[in-house]
Order: sequence, then C-alpha cells, then structure tokens
Amino acid sequence: MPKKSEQYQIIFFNVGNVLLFYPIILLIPTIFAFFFPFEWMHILAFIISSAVSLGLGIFLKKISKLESSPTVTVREGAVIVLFTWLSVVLIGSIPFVLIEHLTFSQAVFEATSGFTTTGLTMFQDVEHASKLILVWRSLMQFIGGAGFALIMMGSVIGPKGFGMYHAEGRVDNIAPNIKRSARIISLIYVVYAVIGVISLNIAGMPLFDAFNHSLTALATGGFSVKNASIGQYNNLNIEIVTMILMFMGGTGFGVHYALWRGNFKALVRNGEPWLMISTIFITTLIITLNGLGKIFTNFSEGFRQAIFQTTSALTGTGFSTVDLSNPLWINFGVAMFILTSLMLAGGGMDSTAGGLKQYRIWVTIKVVLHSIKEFLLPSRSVTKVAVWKGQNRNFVSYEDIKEILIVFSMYFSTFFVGSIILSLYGYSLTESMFEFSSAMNGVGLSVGITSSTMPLGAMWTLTIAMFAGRLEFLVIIYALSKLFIDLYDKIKKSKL
Amino acid sequence: MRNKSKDNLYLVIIGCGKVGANVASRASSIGHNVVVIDKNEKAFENLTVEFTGFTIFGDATEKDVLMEAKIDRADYVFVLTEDDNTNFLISMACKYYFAVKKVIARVYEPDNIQLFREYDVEVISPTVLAIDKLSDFVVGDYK
Repeated sequence: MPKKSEQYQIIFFNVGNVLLFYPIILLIPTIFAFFFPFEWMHILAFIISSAVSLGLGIFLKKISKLESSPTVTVREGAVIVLFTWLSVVLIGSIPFVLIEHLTFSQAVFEATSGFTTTGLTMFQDVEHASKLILVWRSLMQFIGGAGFALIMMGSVIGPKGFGMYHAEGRVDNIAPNIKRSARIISLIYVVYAVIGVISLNIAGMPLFDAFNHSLTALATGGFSVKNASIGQYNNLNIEIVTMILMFMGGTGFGVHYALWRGNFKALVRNGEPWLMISTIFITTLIITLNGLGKIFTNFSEGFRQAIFQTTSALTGTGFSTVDLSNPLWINFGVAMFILTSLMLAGGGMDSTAGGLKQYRIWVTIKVVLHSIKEFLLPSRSVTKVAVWKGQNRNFVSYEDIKEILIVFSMYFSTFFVGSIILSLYGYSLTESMFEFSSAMNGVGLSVGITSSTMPLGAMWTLTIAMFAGRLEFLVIIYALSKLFIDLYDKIKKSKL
Repeated sequence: MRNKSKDNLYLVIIGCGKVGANVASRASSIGHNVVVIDKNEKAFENLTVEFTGFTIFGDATEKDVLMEAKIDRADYVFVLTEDDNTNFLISMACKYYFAVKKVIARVYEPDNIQLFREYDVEVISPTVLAIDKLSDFVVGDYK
C-alpha cells in the first residue's frame, strides 16, 4: 500500500489528467457553430470553460510531481472518481451560466442531471435555447453514460486505472485485458450511436434532433430538444426506434459483446434481458388494462403509451410521450407506483442505466429459489448458485450477497429520506416519491416538481440525489470517510 | 480485432503460485491479454491489484478447462504447477492437442529436463538455476 502522501499524488495526477483531456469534449459543441452561424459568439463560453479545465489540470499535475501514474487501487480510485465528477460537473456548468444566464444552483443542477444521465431539466422552453447548449447537454449525457474511467483507461492511463473503473460502479471485464475491454465497449457504444442517428433520421426525425436523441437515448439520459420530449413528434416509428435504443442503452455491455461475438448460448442464459423484457410487458399490460376508460380511450393507444413510459422508466432514460404532470396521470395511482418502482429497479449491470440494476434483482431471485430448493434437499447436499453475466458464468458467493444487501439498503433508505425531504416542501407523497426516485436512479421522468422556480432546498436535494445515485452511494461514502480520516490524522499530527 | 504486435500478446498461465501470479500481474499491467488457470480458488489471491485479466478456476489437465481459456489462440503458455508430471501432461496437451507454438514449463527435477526438451517444450528449472548460481560462488567457471 502506498504511503498517504503518495496516494494523494496519485489522486492529483489522475484528476489532473482527466481535466487535461476534458477540453476536447468541451470544444465539440463549438463545431456546431458552423451549422448555426448566428451563434458564433457562444463559442466563447466553451473556450472559457476549456481554459479553466486546462489550467486546473496543469496545476494539479504539477503539484502531484509525478511523471506517470502508478497503479490506482480502489482506495484512491474512489477519491479520484469523486473529485473528477465534482470538477467536471462544476466546469461543465459554466456554459449554462454564460449563455443561458442560469443561476449557479440551476446550472449545477443541469450539469449534474447531464453527467449522471438523469435528464431532469431546468429549461422550461428548450426549443428556444441555444443550439450549442442543446448539443452540450446531449454530449454530457453521452460521456456520463460511458463514464470517465472507461474513456481514460481506453485512451491514456491503460490498465493502471482499473481501480477507477471499479469505483465508478462497473465490474465488466469483457476481454482478458482491461484496456482492450475499454476500447471494445467504447466502439460498441459509438457504433450504436451512429446507427441510432441514422435510424431515427429514417423514422422521420430531423437530423439535428436525431443526433441529440440518439446520444441521449443510448446513454439512457433523456434530455430532449423538444418541450414535450418524444411525444411532440407523435410518430409511432420514432417511438419504436427510441424504445429499441433505450433498451440497448439499458443492457449491459457484457451482453452486447456476447451478441457481437455471436455467442448466443451465453446470450440466452443471461437473466438480465429476459427480466427486463418480461417486466416491461407485464407492467405495461397492468397499466393499460387498468387505465382503459380512465386515461386511455382504447387498448392500442393505451398499450402504445404505457409501453413507452415503462421502457423509459425501467431503462432510466426519462423520455416521455405523455404529460405526466397532468393531474389525470398523477391521480392514476397504479401507474405512478409502478413507474416509481420500475425506476428504482433500473436497467442492466454495466449499462448506462441507473437504479438497483437487474443483475442484482436476478441474483436475489435466484438466491431465494435456491434457499427453497436447499430446504427440500437432503441436509448434507452441497449446492451452488450460478448466474450468467455476459459470456461468463459466475458462482454467487456470500460476498456478492452482502454487496447486494448493502446496495439495496442504501437505495431504499436514501429513497425514504429523500421523499420525506421533498414532501416537507409541500409536494404530495406520490409526487415526492416519483420525482425523488426519478432523480436518484438517473431517470428523468418528471411530474412537474423540477422547474427553474422550485425551492432551492428541494433543488439541491435532487442534485445530491442524482450525484450520489450515479456513483452508487458507497464510493462517495468511502471517499468522504477516507478524506475525513486523513484530514483528522493530519490535524492530530500537527498538534503533537 | 486481435492485434499481433509485440505489445499485445495473449498469455495463458497455468498455476497461480508466487511465480505465476507475479508474472501474470506484471504482464497484465503493461497491457497484455492474460488468462490464469488454477485449481485452487484461493491461489488467485496471489495476484496483485494490477492484474486485470481473466481467472479460470479449474483443473488444467482437463481439456474443457484449456478450451475455456481459448488456449489454441495463445502466443505463450506458461506451465507453472508444482508437479513435474502434471506440467508434462499439460505441456503435451497444449503442444500437440491445441498446437500452441510456445510452451514454457517449469521443471524441478533436473533429470526430467531432457524429456521435456525432446518433446520441444522450453524449460525453466528453478533447481538448475539455483545450482548454477550457488556453484558460481565456489567453483567458478568449471567448464
């Protein structure tokens, strides 16, 4: 284990490294100034943000005094991830302040919502927002969906960044070399995005809209360039393509890789896609049948609306084709509760989706069934629970079950506390639970609590929920406790 | 998608003891594709944090386990179990069943070295290395 001072050198070095490369992403929206020449003066905002990032990056690398990074363990990884995300969100919010004149809190909310692939927005009227800002929002989600560790490992740090990768809540290692895994995942991601743009365009969406929606659907983000989200097009083809993209985004990269390799044997044994598909169909049927006559006039219309909202909720995207803030929907208890729980359940492990993750639920189901089986078998029989994940078959250990228990309890306790905080601001219980679940699990469906005029306390509650939910709570708790303990030690030493 | 340059080799290491684990970790940290096989699950704890490859828990004398490691595509196979006989059996399987070009085996008993060499397996013998090194102190250049 490296010494304390070395650990912090590694931390500064790697955060500096990310900030040094961040301007490349920050400058991409400026390319769009060629297509929208009347916005050329907005380039300045992105250049200023890049300069800030570059300056900070160089400064951090300088004080780290390192030439190249030693191996990052999970211990430093947690702190690196926390600082990286904080600085990236803060710098990423600068364009919102400069171009759209949002307040500091609003800009941070928007940037957090972007990078955590949530999709709750401060903009009441996105259609009149700057085009560069719209591109920037989509891009934030696309990058946030992949995660910084992945990008850095595939390009700069290589295998030494594995600790960071873990800390960002990913476990997939699809090739026997993490650098290659990172590159394969990035390739799959980008190829899907390109296919998404083309097919949305064919389905009838203008190119600019298709570009933005493809990025945000695949990242399961949910920022839209239309005020009424996907519903504004009222086009069945677009809805189907978007649903497929959301589902792809909500499926783990290990599963995609098995598909690409043509390993169908492993593919059908993966529980996650089956669980996702069956959940979507069952809940859709319940909502449709229950809403007939109340909200939907006929079955096909109800099915079309219900399946889009459930897919959007489960994959954590947050596109909508109906206005959920309509009192008709808010008072539709069954739908509201199902959507809230779907958001909590979330998409696949190692996907861009948030929530508890289907893999954990699948393991839980398997363990429950196993304990029943164990009860019926002779008392001395030895059995194991096997679960397929990507191309690998894993045996569930007590460590895994412990991890699942911790994650479940963190999610639920945060969910309860957060919903209570929101209802303290006077929102109804249904609304509070829905909106908090949406923020915490990176979904972005809204019943109307989120707006630029909402109370500051509620706004920051949601911001923190989005941030903590994306990094799966534990990393933040680990990182903060490490920082506090180190600080405490330092103070105690200097007193002696 | 496979890249055949020197900095991206596919290594299969059989036996995750001190030697195997350290070689695997070092190779993994510079970016090679590494798969480690051991029939004792605890042995994988020898791997350092730098290791990002795959681990396969199983007996490498079984064909299925070697197949799972995609050993036929390996650039190098290191056979590092504790037993010469086991090493010989695995080396033969790799060399003549899966047609791996470079198989390097660890051999403890100096008398066995000849046998491995006859079957075209490269040998590394800790016993001989130690004998040579120690003899150097007292015998000098005795050839």
